[in-house]
Amino acid sequence: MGYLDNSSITVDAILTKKGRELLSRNDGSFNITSFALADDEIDYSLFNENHPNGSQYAGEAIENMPLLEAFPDENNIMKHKLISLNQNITRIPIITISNQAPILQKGGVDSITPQTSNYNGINTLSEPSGYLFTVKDRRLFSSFTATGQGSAASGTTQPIASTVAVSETVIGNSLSFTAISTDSLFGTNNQIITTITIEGLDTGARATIPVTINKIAGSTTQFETGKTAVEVQ
Amino acid sequence: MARQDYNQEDVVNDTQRVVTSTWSNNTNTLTNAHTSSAQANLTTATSSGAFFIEVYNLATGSEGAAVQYALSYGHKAGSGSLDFTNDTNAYGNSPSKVIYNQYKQLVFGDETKNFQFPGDTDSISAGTSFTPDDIYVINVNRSRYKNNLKPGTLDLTLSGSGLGFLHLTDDSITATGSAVITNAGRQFNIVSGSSGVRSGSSNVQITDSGSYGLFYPDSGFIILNPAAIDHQNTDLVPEVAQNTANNNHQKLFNAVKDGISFTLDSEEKISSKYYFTRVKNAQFNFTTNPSFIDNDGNLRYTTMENNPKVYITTIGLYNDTNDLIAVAKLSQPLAKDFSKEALIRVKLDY
Repeated sequence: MGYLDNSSITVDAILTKKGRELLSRNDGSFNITSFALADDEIDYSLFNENHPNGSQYAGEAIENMPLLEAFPDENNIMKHKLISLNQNITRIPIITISNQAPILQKGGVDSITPQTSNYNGINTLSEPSGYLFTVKDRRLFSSFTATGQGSAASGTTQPIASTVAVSETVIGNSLSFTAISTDSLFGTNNQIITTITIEGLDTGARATIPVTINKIAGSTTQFETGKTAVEVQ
Repeated sequence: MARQDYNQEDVVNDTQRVVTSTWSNNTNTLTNAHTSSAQANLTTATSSGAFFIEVYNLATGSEGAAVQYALSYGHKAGSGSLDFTNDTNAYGNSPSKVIYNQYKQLVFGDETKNFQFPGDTDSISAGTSFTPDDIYVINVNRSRYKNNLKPGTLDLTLSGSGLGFLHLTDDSITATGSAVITNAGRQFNIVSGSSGVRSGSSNVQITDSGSYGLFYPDSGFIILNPAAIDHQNTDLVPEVAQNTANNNHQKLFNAVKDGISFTLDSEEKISSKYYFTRVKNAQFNFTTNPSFIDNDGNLRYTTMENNPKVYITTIGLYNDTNDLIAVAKLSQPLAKDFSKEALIRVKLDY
């Protein structure tokens, strides 16, 4: 007879940039109420269901992977969240957006209405609890407004006067946003970009799209992932 | 669902005192003392070297060299250092006077008081404290300690001509923590002994000259009483000529350097919050990780149908408005499926 293992795992958390900002506000917004789990870094192609030692060893490569330390950029961590679904689910919900890479002129207006596929056997729907829309640099928009979840849950945030990029999150079924109409953030650049991350509140499905803002009216150059672009810091 | 609320009982507060060595690289006892020739310029009244000498752990310029503490000399009348302006109405205004008044103001907040050391035992003023004209100061670099220096950990050895080694400590253990409270925080006596325990039965270390000094752990400095110390170490007898760079703080540096032993710990109060993150068997068994599915959104492996298996690497902590406030990483991936539950204790320090 052996002893039962009653230990728990203890891990040290670090504050994100957003966390430090909220802590400095001292307005009650720094109040942790929920958690999420993620499997960033895991490549499931390493899972070997034909392992010669049997299925118990299928996760051998993954389970022995040393993990990197946490870093404080809230936009680039917790990217792949673990989600709770019924056990018999065989397809994972994914977010589809028709407007994959919006391009705006200064002062231009655009919108996004995401849909979720493979949720509870329904091909495409708007998630009942709505979506989180997180912009990486709020300074680039004079308005950033989500609608469709009532005024309490949805959000219209005020433009931020900051010398550094600050993220902002609103909740709703669709998002409309207006690019800034001034030149100050462009500097000598003709084009600046940021990203908007959309996350389904019911499914945890997530998608990130780039948003391009042109300084000169009429330009239609579109940003593509992997290409060089200017992101204001 | 990708998020789970914490219950009230899942969050626990805790405060602990953490003690570390004060010196660089967590060195317990500092056995070297170096100065910077650029900083320790003692030739003019307004150079920083006339006020203090910065002491390094290693030769300046070598990797890892950092200022550990500074040494100063103060005199009530400004003796022992060059006057800023040696003229009528400005005599005695010198670095040594500035230093004396600066620390006097820090400790007493009152320009009429002077440093006193218990106790004077001569026939005239028996029972009172001894008031010397001057002080030596050891000021620990602010970046070397956290909240405060830890009483009871001071062990400083001075050496030179006279009686050889003088082992100094504070009397916090002997005084069972009881301290005089000043404008600079707690004040303990510097006495002969080790690790906060006084040798002998009295704080009067030298008859008629009082204790060896005063220790202010909350403000990070030590005031030494030259009149008592120079009884044991004649190299530390200050020279007190008017308008003369006697460089008395250089004498203190030599005594500390020759003593080759300076131990002092620092203390930090860390407030932590523990978040007990309970992951139930039916929760968090799927992932939005693209490598988990094929191009059509189907599970990548048929063996995972009805038995999905994912791996937890990261825990994110959120507020009510869904801002990611803090994040923690596991050291190794933790397998999760419908037959497993996990309890992860997330610690957040402030």
